Amino acid sequence: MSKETLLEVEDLHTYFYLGDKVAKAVDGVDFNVHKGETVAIVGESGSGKSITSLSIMRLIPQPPGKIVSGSVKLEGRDLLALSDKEMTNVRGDDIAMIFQEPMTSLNPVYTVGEQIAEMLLRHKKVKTKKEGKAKAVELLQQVGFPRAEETVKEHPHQLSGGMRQRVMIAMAMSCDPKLLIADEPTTALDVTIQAQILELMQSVKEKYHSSILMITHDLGVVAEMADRILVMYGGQIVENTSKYKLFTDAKHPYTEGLLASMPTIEEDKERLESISGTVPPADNFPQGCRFAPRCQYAMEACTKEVPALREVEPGHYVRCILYDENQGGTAHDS
Amino acid sequence: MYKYILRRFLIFIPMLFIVTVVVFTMATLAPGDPLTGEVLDPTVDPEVVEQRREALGLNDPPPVQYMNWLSEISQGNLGDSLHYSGRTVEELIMSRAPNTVYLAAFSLFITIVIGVPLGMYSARKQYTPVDYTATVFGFFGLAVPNFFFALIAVYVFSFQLGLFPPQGTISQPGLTGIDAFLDRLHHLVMPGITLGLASTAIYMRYTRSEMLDVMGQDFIRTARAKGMGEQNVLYKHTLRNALIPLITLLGFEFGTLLSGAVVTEAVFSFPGLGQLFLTGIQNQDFPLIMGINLIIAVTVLVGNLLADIMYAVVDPRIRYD
Repeated sequence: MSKETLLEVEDLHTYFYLGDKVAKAVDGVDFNVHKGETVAIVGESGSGKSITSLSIMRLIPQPPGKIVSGSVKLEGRDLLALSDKEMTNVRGDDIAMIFQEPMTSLNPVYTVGEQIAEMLLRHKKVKTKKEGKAKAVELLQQVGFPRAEETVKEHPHQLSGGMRQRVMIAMAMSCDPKLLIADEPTTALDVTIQAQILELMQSVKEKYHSSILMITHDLGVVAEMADRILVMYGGQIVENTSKYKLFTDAKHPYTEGLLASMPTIEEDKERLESISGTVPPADNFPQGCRFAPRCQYAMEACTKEVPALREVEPGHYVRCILYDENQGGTAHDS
Repeated sequence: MYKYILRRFLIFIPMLFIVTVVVFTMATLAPGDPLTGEVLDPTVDPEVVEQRREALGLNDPPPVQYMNWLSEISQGNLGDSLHYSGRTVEELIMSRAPNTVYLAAFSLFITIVIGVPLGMYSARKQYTPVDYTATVFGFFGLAVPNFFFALIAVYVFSFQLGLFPPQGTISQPGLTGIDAFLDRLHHLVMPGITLGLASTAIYMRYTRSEMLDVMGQDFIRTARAKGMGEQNVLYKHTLRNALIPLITLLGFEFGTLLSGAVVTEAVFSFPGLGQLFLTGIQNQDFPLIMGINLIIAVTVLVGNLLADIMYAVVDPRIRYD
């Protein structure tokens, strides 16, 4: 795999200003996506993973949200420095996005074909509406619509959830984006449809040589799709490693907890493991390590300051005091 | 779709029957009859009055009177006016209806041309001074009764500033071409605004809230993620979805305009259907009341049908079969 960097996110901070409270939804996120790579961001609801993806697209509702600082570079170009108008040229063309809710993500009053053609016209991939419609038929065939000629004339309410998500994928891939951001693309779908959609994403990714940034809370999806995994907690990345490492040698106590809460077919458990407690609200993070109140290894030093994201072995980053020799951490191994 | 429209037209018949029965009952329940007023003239022989009453069928029991009216109607005859002697109801309505149509059209025009864009602008600039100003205007329009607004308008714009005529539809007969048109328009401004004020405010508020509602929908985020510009998102993706509930409002608008016209026309001495209706009621002119009532009922029903048809045009999810 080539190690050319496509997307570089550095020290991203996205806050929401709600009355006199400040919710630090994304609070210092760094990561890269290489060309042809699939990166998954995993975390519980409220960990900031969706806000991270929306920040990259600059689709944060503003107000109340605001990207406070940091940079998002696509092939070296800082997206946060672009004007609003320049950013619309990036959206859809360089970075496309598919969303969690296929039922509501398509405009109910326009046909599927109109919605795909509109995007092609916008980014000058076709010159006329007619050409756009023809291209839409072609794209729908690629995502597995057997009678695509009729489907382009249909409205979203005539399609099932899985079909709509296929339309979203066809639309996202229509302008041949460099990066596809998928925000929980299978969460709202039936399990059998989930597998089909993941397979489809994998195949379009290979066909178009694009990278994928996948947001999910489903470790099964991660195992299926991702090359590298970012675990988010409390608006920060707490672990960043390869898929293989994550499933065999997870370091962060939170990641361990996530893995332990996943059901396996080999073991016969009465109850699934869970991490006690809940994600702290983004406007009121605890002092120090944000996971400390729920962590079984927590010690006094954890509550002093937020630990740094450290490279503990090549390509494996962990934000935990246990792996910091300077802090007297004694690396435990599970 | 055609079957649906046909079916709706057939339903009109029982509905109109019920409406006319109710109005007729209310009209006959009122004490007195069209000849009561004339009895006040002591020189008229009561026997003559009684003869007239008998001849006009006013002594028949109300159900018989209603059936007589109905049989006339079924032959396409609205009957003769009792108050305006020697004139048919049809003649009277035809002479007054155009004025009310102009008035209603003018006020509907104001409502749509001002209410909808102002609501859109207000939604786009939510929580800015423009939005607050529009909101205050909206509450003002809804809260002020139109007869009160009309009186203030007449006092300020006619008597103090002399900008607009306080009453009537034309200043002098015999004008032609563009002069006649402008003269009519000049007379329409104040009654038109009075009649349209509340509706404009309602349209503005509805457009604003619908636009805001749609702007928060997932598919708007999708449109933005596709790289669509702000104008496209607003006018293409948001507006068409926001229009759907506004169409319901448009269906009610016909009824609102006609009932509003009664008050507005009275204040501005505007010779339209509303004023005619009022005269009819004051003089218990049954055929006239029933005739105008029928016209209003048909207009409201057709208006609602039009709204339902427009639904299907704007929203592909709605299909009638």
